[in-house]
Order: sequence, then structure tokens, then C-alpha cells
Amino acid sequence: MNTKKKKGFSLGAYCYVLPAMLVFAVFLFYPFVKTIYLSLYKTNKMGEAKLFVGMGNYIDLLTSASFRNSLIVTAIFVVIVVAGGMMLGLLGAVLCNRAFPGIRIFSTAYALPMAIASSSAALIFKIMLHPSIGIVNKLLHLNINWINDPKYALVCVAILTAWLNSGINFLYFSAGLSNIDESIYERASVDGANAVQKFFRLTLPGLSPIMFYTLVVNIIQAFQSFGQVKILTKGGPGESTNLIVYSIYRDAFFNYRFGSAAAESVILFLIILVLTLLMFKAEKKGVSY
Amino acid sequence: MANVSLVSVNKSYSNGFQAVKDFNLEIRDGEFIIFVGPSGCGKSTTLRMVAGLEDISSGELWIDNQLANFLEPGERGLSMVFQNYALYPYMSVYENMAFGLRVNHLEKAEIDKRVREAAELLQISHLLDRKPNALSGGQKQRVAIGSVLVRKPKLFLMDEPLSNLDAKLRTQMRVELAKIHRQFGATIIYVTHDQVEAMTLGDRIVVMKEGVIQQVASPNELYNNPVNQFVAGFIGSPAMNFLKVLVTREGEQAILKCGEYRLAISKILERRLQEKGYLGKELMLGIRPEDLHEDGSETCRLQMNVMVREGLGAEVLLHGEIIGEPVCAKMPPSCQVQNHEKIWLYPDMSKVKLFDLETEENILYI
Repeated sequence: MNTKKKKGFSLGAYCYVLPAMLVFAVFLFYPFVKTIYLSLYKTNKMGEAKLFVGMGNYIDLLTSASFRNSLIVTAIFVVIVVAGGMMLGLLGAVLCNRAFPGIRIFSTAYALPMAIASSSAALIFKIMLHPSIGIVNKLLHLNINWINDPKYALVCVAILTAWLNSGINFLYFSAGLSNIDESIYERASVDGANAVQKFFRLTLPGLSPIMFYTLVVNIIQAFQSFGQVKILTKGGPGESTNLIVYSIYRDAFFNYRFGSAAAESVILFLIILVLTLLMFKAEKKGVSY
Repeated sequence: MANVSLVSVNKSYSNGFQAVKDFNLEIRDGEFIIFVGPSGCGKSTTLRMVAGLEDISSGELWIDNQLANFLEPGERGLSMVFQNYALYPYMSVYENMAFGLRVNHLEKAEIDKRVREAAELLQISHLLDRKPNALSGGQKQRVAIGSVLVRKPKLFLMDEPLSNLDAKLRTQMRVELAKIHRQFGATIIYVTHDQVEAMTLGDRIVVMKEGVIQQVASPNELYNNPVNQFVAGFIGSPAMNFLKVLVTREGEQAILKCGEYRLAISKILERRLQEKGYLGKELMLGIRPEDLHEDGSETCRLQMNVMVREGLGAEVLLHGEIIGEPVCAKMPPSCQVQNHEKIWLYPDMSKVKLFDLETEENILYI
């Protein structure tokens, strides 16, 4: 009797998750399996698998200078975006973590990048960074072709992405800060701690759980940045901003090499998976709950 | 050790609310002083102003003859125990206790010595590696006190440190605090709303109401000679009973008429009331539950309708009413009166207090 009841119950439970699983199956599991399948084939222009090559696409990619460049560019991009985005978000959150007149205006301003589409932001940045009419050159009294100079293009795209990500990071950190008990700061003041000591000894450890979460999300997001590269630099100049996701897009929809693009996608997935697993491993040491 | 002076200290907020009004107090070196009063009376605000956690709107704060108004909290040479203990949740007990010393760049060996000494004194040596969330309320309390002791401050501030503990632990920690005070001889300012803590711990008690000091005196003085009806009602547990009486004369005998009951008063009291012009006027009679007895003179008694009898073992508390006013009487355990019975109570007239109905001042205040 008992077993029957248990079986019936678990079947009911599966029914509840079925709608979500169906959506996942169509939009996530099927494309994922299909990508792995395609990565093992040479395809025609319609994206149909034509010739089984096994690990051939992977070997081609790993021996290609262009893909290795993409990996390096992506790594630099991710470091700048994650570090910049988190620092901007944290700075805003720490500054807005006290009551003063106009605090809501500041909070809204710091959170605003969250509400801006990456393509719109890229368009605005394109105008701001324009060599002759852009405000950046005017204010800094410089004459730099920011977007078209291989030295600056990647940094510009990365800073734009960092700023875009800072909005949601600001929200995460603000929520984290409001969870830290105010009285421990008061005790630290009485104990004689200065602002820097309070930040490093109390604020950062207090934020570590939320910071870990933000770090994971930011890294994944940074790896997947696309819109701003597409609008601002199109992977150029040269291949200086050819991030992996943009490289996948170019391979698939410009060069119609769907097999190679699928292999790149799988490698990107593996990189993100390994990094996430490593971070969760490191979490136990560095995060205080 | 430190002496502290507060001179005409006021605290007002931007919305116009004045939390502390014209606060004047001299705290002597090594004194255990208690700020007591109901919630919102300004006692914690005053303590926080001494700590430097709140700005002083006007007035002067002197710590060891140095004007401290503009000193940072860390520069005032004091240490504070917070109501919620304010332990750093990510640090172990050891690190919590050592924090105040580390940020002041003390030598490692000295820090270790002080932390271990304090831990031993407070019997928390076995907890040094634990995090605060693995501690019970009493243990957290000890860690908070330990963190204060290791700094060897000249002034200890304590903001309702026992209010989160259960009754038994509170009694135990109260005794330990008294011991620590004797051992270290430090000046302690202690905020509480619990008048039992105030009475048992304090050398002097500052009773506050709505931001104003009502009376500063020793526990005994406050109990026996309250300056007004508020202090009389606040100090003492169960609280003092208040009954409206008319000062009048029946033949040669001056009496206090309380509804249908008559309380004969002494010639001395009669003369004092006459001198102050209270003959023929109404007053508030204050009598403590322990000053109502089962026997006495028939010329001086009140009848109580007992509603609830609380047997506490060592004593019996009778809650009821006299002329419609709630009254509590503390009786010996032999008292057999039950709920819904009537009992004659004989007040000890040498202990009663009389308060002016308008000013609420104690007419018999010496």
C-alpha cells in the first residue's frame, strides 16, 4: 500500500515539473544535444550534418591561431568586465549605504545601466567615443580613434560591458550590505577601527556570500557578451575584439561553418562549466556565511 | 579609570524631536552608574552620545577633564557592550575579542595574553575557536564582555546587555557583572529598563523620563525617598500603589479619606500637610505592596477585593482593587486569602508617600 502511494505521489510531482521540462527540452536540451552532434560533423550551408569528422572540428579549432586569439581576447575581456563591473557596483553600493538627502536619485542612477539594452548602450558609446565629435576626446583633449585602434578597442568594449553589468551588481551588493548588522560597525568605531579597517574586516566578509554569487553570474555573463561587440567593433579592428561568442556568430552565419561554430560553443560551455565548478570548490574556503 | 561630566547636554533631531533635554551629571571615577527609564526616555541616546555614536546637539561632554564632544568614538578610551552583543559574525570568539586590540596595533603576544586572561576569567576558554552563531545567548554575552575587558578601557558603557537573556541567566550575569566591577574598579555607565538590575548593580541610579532626568540617587534613596510620583512608580517591584485621598479632619484626628475608608495620620504628618496648605485638599497616596499588612489598627485600614492570588513560595502577591483602583499587596506565605475574597489591609503609615495631584511631586521629599 505504502509503496503504491509513494509511486503515485512521485508521478504527481513529475507532472508538476513537466511543463517547465517541456520548455527546457525544446529550448535548452534539444539545442544543446544538437550542438554537440553538429560539432562532430562538417555541415552544408543549410546547417545540415553531412560528413562525420569526429574530433576534427575541435582539432582544427585548437590548432587555429584565430581561435587561440579569441580565447586570449575573451580572457582579457572577462577579467576587465568582471573586475570593473563588480568594483563599480560595490563602490556605488557602499556610497549609497547611508541615509542622506537625494539618496534615491543616486541609487537609481547607479542601478540604471541594468535597464539599458546592451545594443543601445553600444550606440551611445559609439557616439561618445567618436574620434572627432565624441565627448570623451573633447573632455580629455585627446585625439584617439578608440573603436578602430586595436590597442583601445577591446578595453572600450570591456569598460562598456563592465558599466552595463554594474547596475545589477549594485543591486546585489546593496541587498548584501543592508543585511549586515549596523551595530557591528558601531562596535568597530568604539573599538577604534578606521573606515578602511571596517571595510576590509567587516564589509567584505559580510558581503562574501553575495559576492561569490555575483562573481559566478558576472563571469558567465561576460563570456556571453555579444550585442556590444556586434554594434561597436564587429570583432575588429583585425581580430582584437573577436570574443568567442562573436567568433561563433561569424563562423555560423557569415562563413556557414556550423560544425566549427558548434565545436566552439561546446568549448565555451566547457570553459564556463570548469570555471564554475572551480569557483564552487573555492567557495568553501573564502565565503563566510 | 575615568570621571565623566555631562554639562547641559541636549539631543534634538532634524524633525524637531528632542530626545535628551538639559542633561547634567557628574560621574565619579570608578562609579557604577545606571540610566534607567521606560522605552524612549533618552537613556540609550545619552549613552550613545557618551560613546560618540550620536552627535551632541548642544552641551559639553568631559571625559577625564578633556572635552570629548568632537573626539571620535575610538579616541575616547571607552568600550561598549551592545544590547544585541554586536559580535562580528565572521570572526571566531578569539578574533572577536582581539579585534579592538588588533586595530590599535598591539603586539601579538600581548593580544594573546589579554584574550586568554579574559577568556579564563569569563570561563569561555573552550569557546575561543567557535563562531558567534554557534554560541548560546549567555556565551555571546560573555564574549561581548570579554571583548570589552581586554581593551582595559577607562570607561565601560553597557546598553541593556542582559535584556536578551532568560531570567535565570540574567540573575547569574548580574552577579558576575557586579564581581567584574569590584575586580576592575572601572567606571561603568549601564543602561537598562529593568529596575531590578538598576537597584542591584548601581552605586547611583539616574531615572529618566521623556529625555529629562527625574532623580539621581542611590538605590535606597530612590526607593525610600522618590522625588515624584513617576520615580516612586518606576522603582520597586511590584510597583507602588496609588490611591486618591482627601486630607481632612474628623474631630481632633486628621485623616486621609480614601473613598469610604479612613486612614489616621500622625501629628507630625498632619503638621507638615498643614504647613504646606494641603488640609482639605486631594492628594495621591503612594504605598508599596510590601507596606500593606494583614493586621493593624482599625483606624487605619482599607478593604481590597482580591481578584488574583499569586503564590510565589516565599511570598504571596494579592492583586485586586480598592475604590476601583488596581492595588497589589505583598503578603507572607501564610496568607490564606483566595480569589474573589475581601481582605482588610493595614498600611504602614510611616512608609506612605504623598504626591501633589498637579505637579506629581513628593510632598514628603526630604
